[in-house]
Amino acid sequence: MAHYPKLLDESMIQAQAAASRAAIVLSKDHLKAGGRVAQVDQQKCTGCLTCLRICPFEVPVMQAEAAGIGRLQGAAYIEPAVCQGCGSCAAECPAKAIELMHFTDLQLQAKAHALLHPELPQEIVILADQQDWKNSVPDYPNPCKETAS
Amino acid sequence: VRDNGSKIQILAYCCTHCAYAAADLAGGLRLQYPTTIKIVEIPCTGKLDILLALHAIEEGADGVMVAG
Repeated sequence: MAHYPKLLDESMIQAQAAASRAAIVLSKDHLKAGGRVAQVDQQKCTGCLTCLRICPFEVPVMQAEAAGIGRLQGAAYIEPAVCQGCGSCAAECPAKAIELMHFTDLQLQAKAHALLHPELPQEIVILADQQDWKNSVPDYPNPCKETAS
Repeated sequence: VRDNGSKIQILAYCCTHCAYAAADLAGGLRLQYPTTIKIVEIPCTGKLDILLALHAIEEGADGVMVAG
């Protein structure tokens, strides 16, 4: 980011500071990312490339070594550390193979149910919680590190 | 208000970055709005698929609002 005309010494110090800030991210083996990321169930993926085309950040990729539905070669993969969590892919996936963590279909349906029928028992809510626990992932491999090595 | 005395309910799906933030701000400013509007946060309006909107109607909502 450009600030204002400044002395050469000052510019160099600032550049070094920026480089060291970048090194903090690049040197880590694992990155901590937020839980709000899309996850592909590769067993359900038909390899239609809809998510690749729809993603505004170009995150999903096709993995040739992965097996999709009916053991077809190739399935979509979403790198959790890069995913911005907008959920566009989850909404567009025709096979419903993608779920956005913390905003799964079950969770959103439970929210709508709870808001519209506060007087009824909320059995769906428990189901949604269980699914969230099952899919919790703590650390993700750093994608920058992999390409550098 | 419906004929049987129950109130009309509208489910609003609001994008985190704009509409939900606006609703949050409205709450902070203590602005009044009808209690029949129920707000659900979604990460982006892109996340909303047609099944989700139809599910709200199925659950008994009279209208679905998408804001983002």
